[in-house]
Parts: sequence; C-alpha cells; structure tokens
Amino acid sequence: MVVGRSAARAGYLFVAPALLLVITFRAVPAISALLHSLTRWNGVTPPTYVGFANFARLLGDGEFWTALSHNLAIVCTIPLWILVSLVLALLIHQETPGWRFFRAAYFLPSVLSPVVIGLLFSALLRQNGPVNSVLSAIGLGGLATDWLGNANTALPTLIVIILWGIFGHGVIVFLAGLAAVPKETFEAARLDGATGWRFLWHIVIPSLRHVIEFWGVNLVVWSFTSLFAFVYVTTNGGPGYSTMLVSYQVYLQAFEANRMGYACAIGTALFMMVFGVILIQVRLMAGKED
Amino acid sequence: MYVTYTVRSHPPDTECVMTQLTSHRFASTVVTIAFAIAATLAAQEPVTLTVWDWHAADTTKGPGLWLKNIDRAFEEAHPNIKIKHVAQSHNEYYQIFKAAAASRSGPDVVMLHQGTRVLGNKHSLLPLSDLMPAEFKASLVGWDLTSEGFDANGTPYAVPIAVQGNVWYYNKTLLEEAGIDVSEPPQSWGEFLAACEAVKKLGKAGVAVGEKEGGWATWYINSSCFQVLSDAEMNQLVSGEMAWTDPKVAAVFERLSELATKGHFQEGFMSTALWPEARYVFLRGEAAFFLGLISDVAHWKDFAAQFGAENVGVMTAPVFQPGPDADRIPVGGAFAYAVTTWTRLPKEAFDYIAFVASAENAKAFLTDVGSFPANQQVDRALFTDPNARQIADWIGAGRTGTQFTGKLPETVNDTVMRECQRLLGGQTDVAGALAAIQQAVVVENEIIEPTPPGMVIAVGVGALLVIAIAVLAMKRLTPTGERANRTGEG
Repeated sequence: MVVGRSAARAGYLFVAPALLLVITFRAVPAISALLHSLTRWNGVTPPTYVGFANFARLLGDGEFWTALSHNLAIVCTIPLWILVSLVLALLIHQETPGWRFFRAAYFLPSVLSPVVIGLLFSALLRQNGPVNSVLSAIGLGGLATDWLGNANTALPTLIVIILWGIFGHGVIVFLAGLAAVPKETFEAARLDGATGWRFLWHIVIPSLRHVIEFWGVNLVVWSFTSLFAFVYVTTNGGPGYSTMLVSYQVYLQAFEANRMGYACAIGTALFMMVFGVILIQVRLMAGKED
Repeated sequence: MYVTYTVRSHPPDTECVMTQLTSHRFASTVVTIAFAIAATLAAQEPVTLTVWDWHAADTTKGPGLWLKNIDRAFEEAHPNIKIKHVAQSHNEYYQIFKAAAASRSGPDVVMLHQGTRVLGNKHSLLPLSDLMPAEFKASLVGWDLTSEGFDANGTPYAVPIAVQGNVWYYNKTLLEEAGIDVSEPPQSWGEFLAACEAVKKLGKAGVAVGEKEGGWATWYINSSCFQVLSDAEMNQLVSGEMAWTDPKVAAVFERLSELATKGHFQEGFMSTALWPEARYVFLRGEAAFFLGLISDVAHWKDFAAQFGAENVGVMTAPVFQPGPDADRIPVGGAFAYAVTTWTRLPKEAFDYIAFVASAENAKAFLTDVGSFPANQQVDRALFTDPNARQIADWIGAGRTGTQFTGKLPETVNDTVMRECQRLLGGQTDVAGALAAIQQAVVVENEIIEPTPPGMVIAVGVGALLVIAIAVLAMKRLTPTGERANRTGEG
C-alpha cells in the first residue's frame, strides 16, 4: 500500500509538468475563448457582454458556412491522402528499386515550412509559370490556367499543395506501422496469391488499422486547424471566398477586423465541431473492432 | 518656486529667514529641492524611445535611409534621448502591434497608415490635442485621415508625415508603338479603351493589375468614384444611409467589370500580387497603364528611373462621367506617427514625431526620397520631374479627396475586395457584388441585443448535462473488455 502511494505520488510528479503546460496553453486559452465568445471585444479594451449574439450572427454568416463547406471538402479528400501515403510506404517497405532515395525524398516536403511550400507552388503555378509551360510544351496548352487565381481550380489546387506538403509524414508513420507487422504475415499472404489491390485491402489495411485510425484522426484535426499558413501564403482565401477556410476566417475576424469576440465564437464552434467529428470517427473505428 | 517665495517674503538675511521658517516648512523646502535636483538629474539621464515602423528594414535607401538620418540628427539635438528604431514586417504589422497593445508594451512611437488603421487602433494611441501647438497642426495636411470621425477638427491620434494617393501612369513609348497619340493623355473612357485595345493588338496588356489580395480593385474604385459620388454620398455609403446598389455605385463597378470582360488586364492578373508583381509588369513594359502611387514606391520616380521621365505620363482616372470632380485624385494610406498610450515618455515621443514632420526633414523627404510630405511649408517647386510637378499642382490646387475605401470598416472593405475578385473572375455580376457589399454594411451597422445572462447560464448548464449524459452513454456502449484493456485492468 505504501509502495502504491509512493508510486502514485511519483506518477503525479511525472505527469505534473506536462499537465501544467496543457492547462496553461490549452485549457486556459480554450476557456478564455469560450468566455470571450460571449462578448464584443477588440482584443485591447475591456470586453462588453453580448451573450449568444455572436453565435446568432454566426448562424447567418454566409462566409462562415462557405468556409466550413471548404473544410469539409478537404476532409472528404483525406482517404486519398491516407491511400497515397500508404501505397508509397508499402513500396518502400517492399524495397522497391531506389527505395532508400525515395524514403528520404518523400519526407523532404515534411521538413519544409508551409510558407516555403506555398511560395514555391505559387511560383510554379502562376499563369506564365513552369507548370503551364510544361503543359504547353507537351501539347496540353488548353489545360493551362491561372491555377490559384481561378475560382474553379483554386481549392483543388490548394488541396494538392497541402497533400504534397503532408504525405511524407504519412509515409513515415505507415513505415513505422509496417515495421511492426510480422514479416510472416505478408509472406504468407504472398504465398496464398494475394497481390495488388487485394493484398492492400485484405492484408495491409487490416494490419495497420490502428495506425490508419491514428493518422486519420490527426489529419481531420489538422485539416480544420492547421491549414492557415497554406491559405495565407497562396490565396488569402480568394479569389473571392473560393479557398476561405474556417481557421483563416478566425484570423481575419480577430486580427484584421478587430472582432476578437466574434473570432472566439467561430473558434468555439470549430472546436465543438472537430470534437464531435473526432468522437464519431473514434466510435466508428472502435465499432469496427467490436 | 517655493524657495523663491520664502526668500522674498522675508528680509534678505539668510539667518533671519532660517529662524522664521517652521520646521515643517524647512522640511518641505528640503524635499522640494531634493525633488527638483532629482528631476533635473532624471531629465539628463539617457532615455530610449522605441519607434516601430515598416520602413526601417532597409536603411540604405528611400524612406529607411531618410529615417536613419533623422534619428541621428534627433539624437544629436537631444543628447539624453536615444532612438531605438525597430523594423517590423509590413504584412503582419498590425497583428504584431495588436499583440503589443494587448500587453501594453513595445513601442513609444508607432508608424501607422492614415485612415482606418489609425482610427481603428485609437484605443492604443494617445490623443495628441494637448501635446500639439496650433501652428504645428496648421503646417501639415492630412488631419482628416488621422482625427476622430475623419474630421480634421476632431481629436487627432496621429501626425501625418506623408501624402499618399493613386494616379494613373502610362508608358508613352508603348502607346506610341500602338499608334496612340500621347501628346495628351487618353483621358476619356473611350480614348482609354481605344488605347488598351491598340496595345492588346501588340500582344501587351492595357493595364497592369495585381488582384491576388483584392486591393487593386479598391484603388480603382477610389480613383474613379469622384466622377459619380460626392463626399457626402461616400460618407452615407460608409454609414449605410445610402445603398450600395445605387446606380451611381453600379456605374463604377460596371466600368471595372468592362475592363476585365474586354481582356485589358495581363494574363494571370487574379493571382498576381499587387505588391510588387503588378508594378514589375508595368516596369517590364508589358502593360500600357498602371494605377500607381504618388509617394515612396511604385511612383513617378520609380518609373522615370526605368523609362526616363519623358517616356512616362501621369493622369487622373479615365473619365466615364464628366463633371467638376472627375479629375480629383484620392489621397490616404500614407504613413503617420502616433504616441502609444503606455509610453512613459509622451513628451519626448511627440517631440520626435514633430521633428520628423518638421519642414527641414519634409524637404529631404521630397528631394531625397521623392515623396510628398504632409508639411506644407516645403516648396513643391523643388520637384524637377514633370510628372511629380503635375501631381504637386493637383495637390496644390486642392484636386484631392479622401480615399473612399479607406473610410470603410475592415469587414466591409474585405467584402468589397472579395466581391471585386468575384466580379473580375466572372463568379458574380455587378448587381450581385453590390448586394453582397450592402449586406456587409447592414451587418456592420446592426445593433447587437445582448442575450439575458440567465439564459446563457441555463444553456450552459444544459450543455454540460448533455455532454455528461453523452460521455456516460459512450462508456456504457464501450465493451467491458475494451475498457479493461484501456485501463490496464485486463
């Protein structure tokens, strides 16, 4: 019993620093944002209580719903992000010729800042940029367009840029997952004649279910909360509202329009939605296991 | 003062004075003298004024060099004051300043754009009425852009240093190549369109545009709106008393749309940054017209250096609605200096700003930087460039007006920019764009009715209950084995 108490105390002590950081930098700001979402506040002068007025405004804010629909469109592409990373990780795991080079090459975008990636693609994709020049050179000049300046192509292009920036992380995560799968499992599958799509669908994906779940949850959270830099550098949410995301709208309201209270309301709504989506996602995955 | 009074009240015999002073008075005298000495010493103690701006990053040329020279001269004139100039990124400038304001730390003196950027941050700026002599105020223009209510007689929150605005520049060589007579600027809308059309036949663009941020369209609106809107009507549009769907406003937007529809902008203009890429399009000779600035950069001096002053022309907005105000040029957005509310050195801070705005430094601003100073005591004849002289004539003749979109709240301005992007990109039409802007003005001006606190508490408690029930339900749904595995009890 004494040993148990001492161990518990030691446990608390070990947890304390991390807990303190989480409380200071996560819980306190989240509660503060929730309280400020009930106010009209410019971030400097004392806030004025308005109750749910910010949330009522949010319901009628077309820009918010447009931004949310773009976020959801990005979420819909996440299976593709996972699949790309998974297939590439599998090819490396199976030591396809040149796998050492590709392992390093695929991870390279992940160590680049979103700002660098955004600037790089902005230059590549401009009207008279290299991508359009190549298209013209191979006889596909008709496809050349102002990729980020055209409202029809801006969001898909942005998604491709984000995918390029993130897939390397996924490759590393899945490589780690594949390393933990016993070699015999794959060998047995091969001997049983499982190849290509069947191998991926019936052997690899079930073996990596927990890794895919982990990476999927990460990507969903990330797609709602961490794409700001890409949008800021490449399109500023435009043309018009065609690449507006909720996180970018929070920034605009808070720091451009000085509507910190309203920005907190959007942030709170975003938090609740992401939390809900994650809960559903985890439940669905747990349900499959059951 | 106290010591003087005591001595004068008594015969000039020190011993006699000392004996007549009560011990209390004596103590007070000693304390007063001590404070005076301390104050004198404190005044001589070196103090540091922190100045923030976006020009100080490059002190080798232009406004950065000009400010560096001013700092040196000010420090020589005020040996106890040291200037610490901090360059901040122009793109994130107001976000950084907002963070500083929230923590009430950072600069004593801060550079701001005239207009909404000053008035939108007034809660962090010291009202300057008490610090400012009347003759100083009279020597500068632009107070309407830095004072309460966009009124030159309102409480000033910043001192205007420069005059900034938009004028149209044109490449005479390119237009002549296209067969256009450039002895007079192509001023009417018809002439302007004809010139753009002629240039297009050469494979070049009529106008160099950068619409990535949406800012170019607001420059265009500011430049053209004087033809159809009076100052009072512009204020009514800002306040919501006049509808944006009014045909007068539509006339401006229709011309904007016409230019895009007829293909008079360079390819890829929607993803071209106004700053600096669109300027490069004009500098490379790939477009005939550029809606540029009058001061600092992207202005007559820049273009004269590239093409030669004789090969560049300057004009006001192409006229589609002739009238007495059609040739006015919009001014605003130039830089101003303000004193922060948290500074411990308000007087020194204002002294520095007054020094920057002085006639002597304004003259250097004009001759060395090639910019128009707010100080009107400078002889504008110092301009030798013909285009600069033309602009100076317009300003001198009072042919200026406040930048219209500079008065708009940020949210409305953002809507204007985005709707213009949609308009130029073909996603909406003029009526749709104006209706959306009108809606933004309505939302901006609507009065918010606070929810009764009781209701907020009731909803909060209800939400907590729902969450608690949901968590409990999920726990019940979780299989026992899984729970045991998760808690390590299995």
